[in-house]
Amino acid sequence: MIYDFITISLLLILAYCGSYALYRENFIKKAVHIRLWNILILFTFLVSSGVGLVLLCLVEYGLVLPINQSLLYWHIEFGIAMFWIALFHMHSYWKSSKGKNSLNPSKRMERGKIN
Amino acid sequence: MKKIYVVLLIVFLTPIAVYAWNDCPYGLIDDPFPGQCPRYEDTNQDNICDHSQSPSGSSDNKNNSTNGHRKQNHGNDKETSNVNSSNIQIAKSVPGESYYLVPLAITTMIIYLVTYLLYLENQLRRHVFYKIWNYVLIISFLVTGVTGLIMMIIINYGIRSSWNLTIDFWHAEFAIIMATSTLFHFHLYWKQVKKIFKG
Repeated sequence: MIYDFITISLLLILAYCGSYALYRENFIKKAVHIRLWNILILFTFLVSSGVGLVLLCLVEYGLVLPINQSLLYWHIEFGIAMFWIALFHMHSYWKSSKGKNSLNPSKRMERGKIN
Repeated sequence: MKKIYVVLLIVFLTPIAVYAWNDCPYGLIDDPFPGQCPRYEDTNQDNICDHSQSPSGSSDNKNNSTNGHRKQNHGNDKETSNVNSSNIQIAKSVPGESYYLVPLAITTMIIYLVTYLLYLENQLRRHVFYKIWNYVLIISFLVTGVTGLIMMIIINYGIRSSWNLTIDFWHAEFAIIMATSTLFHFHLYWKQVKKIFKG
């Protein structure tokens, strides 16, 4: 069985670049861009890990079902999608987490007073 | 109150993690022949069920069975005969069937609860606590993702090697850690997660 790694990867990279460009050009809000990819990562995670968990249980207990092959297929397809979306997720939050950690204690205290 | 719940959870989960290493579903120890359940398995022929033996013993047995299986294939398949001895040595460390789903998930959960308790007790700073679990998630994700991609390439191109089982095993192990720490990630960022579904 051949898995569509290149097709899925290209489609997702293009979609993310498009969504990012729309946000940078102020056509959509940052919250919309982030929310869209958060929903997608949640969905792909649930499908990929859920199917993975079922497969793992089947293998552990030595159960061979006719749907094993298609379960593995969808586990991999959604896994590929999750891999890319997780990288986009890290890209989206990288700056904000870096910003929080790079603040020195005095600046953090100042910010705390202002807030 | 929160701290009491966390302590109770740790106390409740620890025995499960300890006993789960012996993968007998009924918790039997050194179950003699003919065994008390249909899962009786004795690969090293010591008249004791492999599932009821200690982790090191049972994993050795499983390794032996994997090795034995490998030797059988050696006679049947010409391609496997080309596999060099160093690769076979490495493949020995791969358990044949068990992926330690329950022990690994529960051990990760206990570690999380301990760090969470330390955070609640102000022994661990918030950003350190968050950072630890973000790094656990990133590392487990990267290992799972990369091994998954390697396996996909192996399947797509029909590559056969003694590494296949090793990669599959570590893919599953890190995937269990990743899935568990993703649930902790939801717990840590629960407010933000809730916002996704609110207008």
